[in-house]
Amino acid sequence: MKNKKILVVDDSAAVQEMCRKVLTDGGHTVAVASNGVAALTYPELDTIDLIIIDTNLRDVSGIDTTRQIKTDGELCDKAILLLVPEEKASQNESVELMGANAWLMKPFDPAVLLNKVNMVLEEQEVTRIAREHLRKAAERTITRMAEEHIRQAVEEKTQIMVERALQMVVSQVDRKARREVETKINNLSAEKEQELVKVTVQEVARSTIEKLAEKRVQEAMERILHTETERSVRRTAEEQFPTMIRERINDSIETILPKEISRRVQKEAEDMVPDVSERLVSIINVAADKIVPKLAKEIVTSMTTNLVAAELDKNLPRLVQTQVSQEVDRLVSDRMEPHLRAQAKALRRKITLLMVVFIALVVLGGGVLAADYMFGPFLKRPNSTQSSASRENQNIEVAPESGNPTPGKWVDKIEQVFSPAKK
Amino acid sequence: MDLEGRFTSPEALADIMRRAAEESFSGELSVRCGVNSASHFWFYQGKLSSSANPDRSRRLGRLLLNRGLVDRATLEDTLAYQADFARTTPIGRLLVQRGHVQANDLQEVVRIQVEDDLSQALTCIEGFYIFTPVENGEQPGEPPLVQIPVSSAIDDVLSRHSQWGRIREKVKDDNMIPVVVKLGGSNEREALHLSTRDWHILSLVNGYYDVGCISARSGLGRFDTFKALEHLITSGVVVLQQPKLPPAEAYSADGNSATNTADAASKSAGSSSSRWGSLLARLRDDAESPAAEKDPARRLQFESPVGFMTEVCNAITEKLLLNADFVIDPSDEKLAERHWRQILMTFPRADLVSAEMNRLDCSSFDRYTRTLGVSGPMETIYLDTIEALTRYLRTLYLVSAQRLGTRAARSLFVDIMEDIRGRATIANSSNFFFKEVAAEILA
Repeated sequence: MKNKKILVVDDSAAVQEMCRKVLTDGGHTVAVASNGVAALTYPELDTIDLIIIDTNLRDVSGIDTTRQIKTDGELCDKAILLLVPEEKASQNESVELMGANAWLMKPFDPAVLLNKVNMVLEEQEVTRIAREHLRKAAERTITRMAEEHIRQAVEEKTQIMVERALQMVVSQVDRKARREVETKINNLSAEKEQELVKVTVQEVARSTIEKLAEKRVQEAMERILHTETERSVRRTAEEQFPTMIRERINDSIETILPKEISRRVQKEAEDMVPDVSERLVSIINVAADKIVPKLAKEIVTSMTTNLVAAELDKNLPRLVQTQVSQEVDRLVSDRMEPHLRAQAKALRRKITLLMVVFIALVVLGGGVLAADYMFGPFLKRPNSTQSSASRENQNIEVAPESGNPTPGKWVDKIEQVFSPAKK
Repeated sequence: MDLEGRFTSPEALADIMRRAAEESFSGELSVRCGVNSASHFWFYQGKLSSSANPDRSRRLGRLLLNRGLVDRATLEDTLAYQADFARTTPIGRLLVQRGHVQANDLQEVVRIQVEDDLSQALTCIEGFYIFTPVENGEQPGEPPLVQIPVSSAIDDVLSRHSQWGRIREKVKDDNMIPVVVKLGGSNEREALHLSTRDWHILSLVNGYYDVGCISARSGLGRFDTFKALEHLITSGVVVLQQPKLPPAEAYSADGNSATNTADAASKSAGSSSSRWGSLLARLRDDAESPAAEKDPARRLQFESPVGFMTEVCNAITEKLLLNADFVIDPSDEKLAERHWRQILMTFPRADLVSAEMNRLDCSSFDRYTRTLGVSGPMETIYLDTIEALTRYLRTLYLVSAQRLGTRAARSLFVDIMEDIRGRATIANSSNFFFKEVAAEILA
């Protein structure tokens, strides 16, 4: 045994040197260490073939080191040779090896050391070879057993597969037959089913149609009823409403219209008064400036204003407060509004007409006054020198008889013009 | 550039060295820091070729041995060759020339040595320097095998100084002893990832050698060794313990003591005076007791010269401790343990000899010698042990010469060595020449 790597662990440098010399001369490579910890931590411990350990190391003994090596999973295969001091070997006949492969007493003969080392290495080699053989034998056995198992397994599997195949064929045949039977049954069933479906569909359709028809009829009836009802209502309303409306309008015209007219007039007057008054005043002013003497213009203006104001004061609150106006409003808002609108339109036309008449009358009055002014002295009769007081009490109709009309008479005429409208 | 002068900071010394490099100086630079011995740096055309430090116990041969780059027999043979035929040729060059060491390995070892010496010199706050250039007409000889650029070496050393503070917080003292801590289990082992360098340092920890010894044995230099130790301590694999024995004063080969023995005695006199008294009483009792009476004619059998040297050491120690004029230091209660431990730090392969109860014990060595002899696998161990014992006796001689006077010490040593040698029968002593060893001890 040569070219093995040996680690010598001894705390004596002399023993280290001795071992190194002996083992190196024996053809081995030697590393030395002085303590057990160094043995355990040797960086190249994997490559070591044999560890020679002194049992009598200081601090950490060789026995402890051996125990640590032999209980380490990675190191337990390492061969160990213990160096036992002479006195300890003689004290204990049997040396406690603690798993070491061999031991040698110190001091040792170099040849004995070398022989012991070689013996341990050979044992280790034999052990290694035996382990290798065992491993190979185990592998062979395992392979053989595996093959046997595989063969058995294959047979079993084949049998199982055949059985399964048969079962599969049987089941397929069975399935096929069943499928055919089922197909036929299905076909028959399908026909029956179709008939049944047809009948069912017919029934369902019938019932649906009936329901639909019923629904349609109901809807048609409802629609007709609604239409008829509406028509009847409309007809009734058309029949009844005009009469009623007419009656109401008549009533309104009779009762409400005057008031309404008054109110509207009032309102229109309110709206119009400033304008109309202004226009009137302007017209009158123009006319007065041109025609009427200054005094007559002042009287007419003041009187007109007073009269309009008095009329407004008298009618306006009453018109506003009357229930009729509410009714009229409601009727107007409902169905009578078109009628009222028509009436109002007619009324507006009337008012416009009245205004035209009024303007015409004013123009006429102005013309009369002008004529009277220009031609009065020529037409005056001798007995016409009545006092102004008695002339004020005379009717306009008697104006031709009484000579020149006074402003008070024109006012009365204006009131007469307005009075039919009031009626 | 002034050839000599005073410097007042490490940076000033670094500048002096840089200037020497710029001017392609060839020669020797001696640096004396305070009252300490001078460090020496040799320049070749502005590059560092080697260094020497009297405080450093490591020699090049020892470094090469520790790193396993050369075996002891080869080194001894080359040293003998150097002494006989090539006195002016450095040992490193000889080893390379004779094919024992690769030039790259030698350069690496010398580089570490020079950097360590440079690092120590650049911690000096104040001192003197002197340049000794190669004299006119003297040929610098062959270019040295190792030529280190000065600037890069200084930069490396200065950059390490910043890390030294952190490392020194963990590794405070060279005399501290690293001890491994048992791992919790495979998980802890798997979680621990050590670099090759860290593991190399860990593999040297045996609970006996101190930090300084491990640093010397590692062959990595002080900085890398301390850095690896700091990492191991941080990882929780190693803890540092105080030494059980006070460190012995170091004696160099030329007889200079690094520390004053009298000062050491006065420092520790109060604390262990009672134990000291008991030791002296025990030694006197042993000397006066009938059992202790020795047969002057008794023959002594030794398995190897190591046994003989050990017997000499023990006889001298015993004699010295019975001398009231010698016993002035309470730490002499463990004189043998202290000094032998100090020796082992330099000669770790001599650890088959142990010290206990002020006696050296070589029974383990003898057991191996009976089985293996002193050749073959034991040869290096044997030679190291003989050298270690020689160094131990030399140390004892220097201590006794300091305390008893040179003449008395020599007389005592010669009497004992001759007495034992006269009665001794030494096996495996074909390469052991007692007179050479005695001359080395009493030089």
